[in-house]
Amino acid sequence: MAGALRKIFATFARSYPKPVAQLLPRLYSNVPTPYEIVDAQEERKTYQDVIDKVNRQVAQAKQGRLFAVVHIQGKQVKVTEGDVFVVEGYWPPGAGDRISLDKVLLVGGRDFTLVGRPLVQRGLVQVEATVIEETLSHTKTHFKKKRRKQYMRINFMRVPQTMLRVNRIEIVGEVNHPSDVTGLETRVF
Amino acid sequence: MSNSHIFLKSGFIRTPSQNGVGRYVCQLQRVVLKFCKNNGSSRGMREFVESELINFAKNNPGVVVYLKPRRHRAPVISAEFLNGDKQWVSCHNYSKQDISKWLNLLRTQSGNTTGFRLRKLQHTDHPSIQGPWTPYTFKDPAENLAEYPNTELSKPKIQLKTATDELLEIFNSVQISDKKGVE
Amino acid sequence: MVFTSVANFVRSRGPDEFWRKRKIFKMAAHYIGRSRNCYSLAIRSVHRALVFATKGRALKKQDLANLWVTRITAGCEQHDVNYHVFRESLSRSNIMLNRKSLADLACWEPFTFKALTDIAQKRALEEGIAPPKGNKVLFVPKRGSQKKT
Repeated sequence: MAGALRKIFATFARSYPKPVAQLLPRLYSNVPTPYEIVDAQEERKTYQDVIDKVNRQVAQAKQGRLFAVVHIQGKQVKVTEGDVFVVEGYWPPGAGDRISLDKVLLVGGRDFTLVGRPLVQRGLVQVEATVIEETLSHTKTHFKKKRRKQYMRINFMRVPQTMLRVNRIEIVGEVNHPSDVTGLETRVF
Repeated sequence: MSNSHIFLKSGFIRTPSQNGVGRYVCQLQRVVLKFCKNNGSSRGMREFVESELINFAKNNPGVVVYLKPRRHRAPVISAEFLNGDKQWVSCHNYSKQDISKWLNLLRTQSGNTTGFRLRKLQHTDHPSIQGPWTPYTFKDPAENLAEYPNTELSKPKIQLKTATDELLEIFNSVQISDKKGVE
Repeated sequence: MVFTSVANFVRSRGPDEFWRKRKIFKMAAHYIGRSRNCYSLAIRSVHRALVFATKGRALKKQDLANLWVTRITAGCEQHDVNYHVFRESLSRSNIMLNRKSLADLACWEPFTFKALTDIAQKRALEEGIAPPKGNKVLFVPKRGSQKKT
């Protein structure tokens, strides 16, 4: 019985070299399950150190240029301060409007990255953009033809395009110290 | 060898004088509305001039509006932008709502972009902050100092178990089980 | 002057023929040879060109998606993670970056991408996420000089 199981494990080891064997689903065999001793205290200390480092750098304004991955109109864009991108389709904000882009998936700099799950916390990052232009795209011709069947259809479309210039990306809050009251950023009293 | 650039001009996003970095400046300089005082095709234009034009002019003090009533001519909006571009929109048989929409579009444009294909929908001056990936980004610098021929670094990248190793393993495991059986 | 029947043989095909054909010639102005000057040839070429342009718009999206997958795979294989394991682990960690963003990060922000592969590897080890069966791409073990985290 043990010999048969060993054979099964040997065939698996042949197809997947050793390091990947760790990622295989756990087999019922007499091979000891790999485990890791985790010291909760030490782990907490390590990640608190990292968070403090990030907060300190931000407080001293030494983080440098930041980039953010923003979700807008169903698409994700990687932006920095000063760059221009185009949003296609019907989008209400008009020319000259200053907008805050709230759906931030990731913020990063030279030394650290804040990964949102899925979004970075609301009051932590501030991404602002100005709408600089609203045009129509070039004329796209949608042409269908079936040869020898006298079937031809032609349609023209111009897609509204809105150009946004990113004005600032800043980390306003503190990492792991969310403010006690949240959700009031858009409220007007 | 392709000449399709003659057919459809294409290029990247252009923003006149860093518009939006400081404040937003309306790029429309002047607008000329030409229409006929009698002809039916100018009816919508005439209605627009009577009702909505003044509001448009008030709301956009930076845009100069000219009216040119020209008899027996088709109605037209001619726009000139700050970068010198000119755009010409025919308003033949348009309603006043149509004309209002086109005028708003001209107001929000920054030049004549009809027939201009954007190659990319994004423009950055700083594509990378951490430094773009190079084949040396995650390589150990010790490899720079390695002396060749080097047995360690010259090993094949993928080393599967050889048949000999597998046989040895099976032999050893069988031996252990035999020993256990004996014990 | 007496015109009896000669005039009947002169038939106009229509007053708009010039402009109807001009629409086609405008689009064919950059073609080579007779295709830009002779209507029967031009119209065939123009129709094909429009059909290719229409189909190409859908193909472009597919091509770019494949390119992104290739780039992400290259990026994560450098850090010893399989692409499918990477995507599954990120998805289970609620990190909803799409292939375009991941490819951008892999090319332009390599250290952020490494952080994401680290997250994915940890998650995969905890949950036992394995590469799909029959995955012919061989796993590349690290050389002795690189350090394992």
